[in-house]
Amino acid sequence: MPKIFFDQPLFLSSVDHTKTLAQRLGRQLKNGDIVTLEGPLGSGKTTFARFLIQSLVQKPIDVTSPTFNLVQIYDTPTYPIWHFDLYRLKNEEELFETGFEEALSHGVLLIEWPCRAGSFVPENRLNLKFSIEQEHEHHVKLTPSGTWKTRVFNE
Amino acid sequence: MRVLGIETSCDETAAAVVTEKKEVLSHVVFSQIESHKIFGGVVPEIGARAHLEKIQDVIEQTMKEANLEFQDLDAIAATCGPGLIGGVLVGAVTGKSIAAYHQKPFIAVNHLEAHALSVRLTEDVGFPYLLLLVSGGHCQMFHVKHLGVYEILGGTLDDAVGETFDKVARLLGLPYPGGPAVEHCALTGDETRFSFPRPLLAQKNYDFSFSGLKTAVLREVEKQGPSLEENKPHIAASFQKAVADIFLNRLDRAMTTLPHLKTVVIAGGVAANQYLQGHLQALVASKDKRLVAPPLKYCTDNGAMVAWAGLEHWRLGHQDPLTFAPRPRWPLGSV
Repeated sequence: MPKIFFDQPLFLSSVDHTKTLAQRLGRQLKNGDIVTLEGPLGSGKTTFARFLIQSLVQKPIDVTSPTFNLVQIYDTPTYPIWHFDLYRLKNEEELFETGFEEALSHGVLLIEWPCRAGSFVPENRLNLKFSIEQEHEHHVKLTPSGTWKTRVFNE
Repeated sequence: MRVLGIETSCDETAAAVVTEKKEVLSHVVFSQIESHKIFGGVVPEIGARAHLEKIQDVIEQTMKEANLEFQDLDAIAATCGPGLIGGVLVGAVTGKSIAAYHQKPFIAVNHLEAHALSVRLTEDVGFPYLLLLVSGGHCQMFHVKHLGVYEILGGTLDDAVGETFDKVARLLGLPYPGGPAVEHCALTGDETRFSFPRPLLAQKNYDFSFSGLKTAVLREVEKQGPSLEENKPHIAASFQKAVADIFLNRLDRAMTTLPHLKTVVIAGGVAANQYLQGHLQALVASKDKRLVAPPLKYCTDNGAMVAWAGLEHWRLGHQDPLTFAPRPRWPLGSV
């Protein structure tokens, strides 16, 4: 059973493993939380986001890639989930075309390629860094910042 | 009957005027305007999606090219979703303001519906038809029954097909946009050299999945190392073949299930891929049906398709109140 550990690489041995970790993290999220996802193309960012969103929405739903549209929005019983992919952002100011301010005021934010938004991404967030160490070996490292550092997780 | 259409839902700021006789009186996309504003001798860098800074120039140019004043228009149409809220707001509010000031009817257009109907602006296509909407952000198949009645048959579960071309181009070190770059690179390649997966084909539905195909290309690129340069065309060609096989399979299923549909329409930027179009054309012709694609300038985001969709609705008596709120989420099945 994959546990959530901070600041050390977790080996994602299978798609099921990724799914379980996403579900575990999903249970900890509350309105206003920000999770950023970093890593190269094909390292598993969108797959993780898909499992996380599906676990929060609590019904079968297609979670398509936000790469072209920049953001996709999903409803849970209590708050919306904003799934951003900022890869195509050409400058930081363009972020405000996407509804980012509204997202910050209400909802859970999952942000792929957060570096494209520079300083506009708040400090209070959990960063997930995905990597492919060797062929087929996916890893992820969870790094908390701001209030995430002192967050108590309910198992 | 002349309708102004405004499109601002994603990357393009665009406008056009069309008539019920299918004349496009003007067709302006911001990136085509040459005389950009100059402040103190410098051309300011305008953000790709800074629609607010561009919309006035685009509409002025559109009216000038059509040689019309606002009072000569019969209706104003604007994309009101789905799309980025910032962009959609600019287009919708601009359209409504022109409509309010000049006392013209306003029509709120669904961006996907505009793509779905765009073929009727340039070709003689009657309802019903089968529609493949394939672009950077969309990959869906619809049964277009009547104006306003669109049944979704299936769609991508992960990446859109245009996005997959872009990502494969990135992996191969080819330029953006990836569609034309991959197609060109594949010209000299052997499409049987690499065996890439065709996800979901065993499933008896109309859904698509491209994420696994993208990852398979990534693995192959990693495996190649220094021989990548030499094998690039073969990877591009083998990838493109996999995409074509996926579309052929899904389209074949749809044509078998819905045999009364005599016309297949392919719309969206990916429709410009000649390799894909050629394969689809051969399949559709073998079933004694017709494949139609709008010209490329109406396949990518543009104002003419919005004006046309607005015109189709308006001539049936539809119009929307100026209180119509833009909808970032607005699935085509619910138009």
